[in-house]
Amino acid sequence: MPIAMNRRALQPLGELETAVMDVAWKRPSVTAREVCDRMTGTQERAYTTIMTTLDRLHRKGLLRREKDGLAWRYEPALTKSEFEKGLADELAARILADHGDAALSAFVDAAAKVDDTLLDELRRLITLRRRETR
Amino acid sequence: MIAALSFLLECAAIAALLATGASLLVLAVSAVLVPVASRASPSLRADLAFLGGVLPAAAAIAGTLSAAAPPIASALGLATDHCQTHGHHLHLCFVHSAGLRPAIATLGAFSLATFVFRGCSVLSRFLAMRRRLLQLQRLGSIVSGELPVVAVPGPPRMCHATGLLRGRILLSSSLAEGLGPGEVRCALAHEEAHLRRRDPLANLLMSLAGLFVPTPVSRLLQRAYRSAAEEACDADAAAAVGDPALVAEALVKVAAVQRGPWQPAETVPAFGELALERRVRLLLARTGIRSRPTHALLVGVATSLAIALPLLVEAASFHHAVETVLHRLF
Repeated sequence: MPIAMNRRALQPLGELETAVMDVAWKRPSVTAREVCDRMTGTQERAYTTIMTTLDRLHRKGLLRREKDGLAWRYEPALTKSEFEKGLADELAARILADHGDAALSAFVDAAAKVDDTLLDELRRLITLRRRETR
Repeated sequence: MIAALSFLLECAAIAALLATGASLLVLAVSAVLVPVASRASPSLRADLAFLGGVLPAAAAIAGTLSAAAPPIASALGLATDHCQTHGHHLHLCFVHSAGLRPAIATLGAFSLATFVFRGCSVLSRFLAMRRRLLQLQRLGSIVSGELPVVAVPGPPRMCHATGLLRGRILLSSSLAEGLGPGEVRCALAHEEAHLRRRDPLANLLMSLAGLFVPTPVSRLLQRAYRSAAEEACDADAAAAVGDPALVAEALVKVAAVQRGPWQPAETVPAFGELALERRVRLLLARTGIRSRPTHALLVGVATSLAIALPLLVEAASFHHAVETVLHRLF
């Protein structure tokens, strides 16, 4: 699973990074000029700002790039869905690891170490109970 | 300036002494009550644990405010100068300090530093968790319901109630897909019970109240509260779906689905397998399904007021009593 390999990519994006990635995800590959042309209205930014943002996203591992003449051409390393699933997983993992208190409101404490023997025993008890109440 | 600093350290020492005294009292009462409380409903146990958790903090805040009230009132011109009436012992006053005693200074400084350090830690953890939950929420889409359910993408980790005032349930789409409709109903009913009971808010209040007492005592009471709250929500879910065994099945199914390569290896303060086993056994042993409302927050506020009001009304007497005790102790 490629997203599991690059945890650095799985960090929440800023507003501008999200806007740039949204453009990148809609096309197979983009240059800074193409992104700049597609970001209009309130999203409009200077060409150099877009270039810097694309470079940052590349360093985060979200974009791959190759030379296209004098410019860099970028393509997403992950699909939007892969990124969102990976980010959600990363956030959930952080919540579980850093905030044990979160277990209070979780249906089952996902961090608890539960082995197969215990689960089998509990299933047996439930079946037994079902039989008794029939 | 020195007098104000002395006053601050004296107040910190008073708060620490009151909170420690109250927490020892809570522990003693708990030791007596445990055999009786273990037979009580989970909801009542959660209420008692919450009360035990917030009581030392309420006593410390009310007692310190009461002890500090006369000099503050005097400085504001609301009362006459109280220091004229007692020249024979320690002055708890930032205007007429009689000099800070080393033992009180040490205790006050240590308590204040510990309180600030632990307070910052609790606050930063709370804010980080809130930020992460909001980020998760933004990735998901609201499904439906009286209490909104947010379907979040990713592996089946989450079935989680959040929100201090406006409740939300975060549910991993993949977890929902791995469960039957009845099991999803059980999980959501359990989370809705957490939100109706205002457990996220009660949990935060207990964490803040825990700043006033020694960490092991605070952990013990919070753990007791959480276990009882989980069992109370299981009972509520069983009452909502009308079948305790179905809730037990859902618990086991979710525990099985959540096991996977994504399970964190770190040691996490968790309820652990014993909690799961106990919850399942309790659900299966249930004969009559009764959902009991919680009064934890109400009782907590009422008790805090019951402690604070008499202390504030008798602030002058309490102030002098505290000065006498500090004078004799240190």
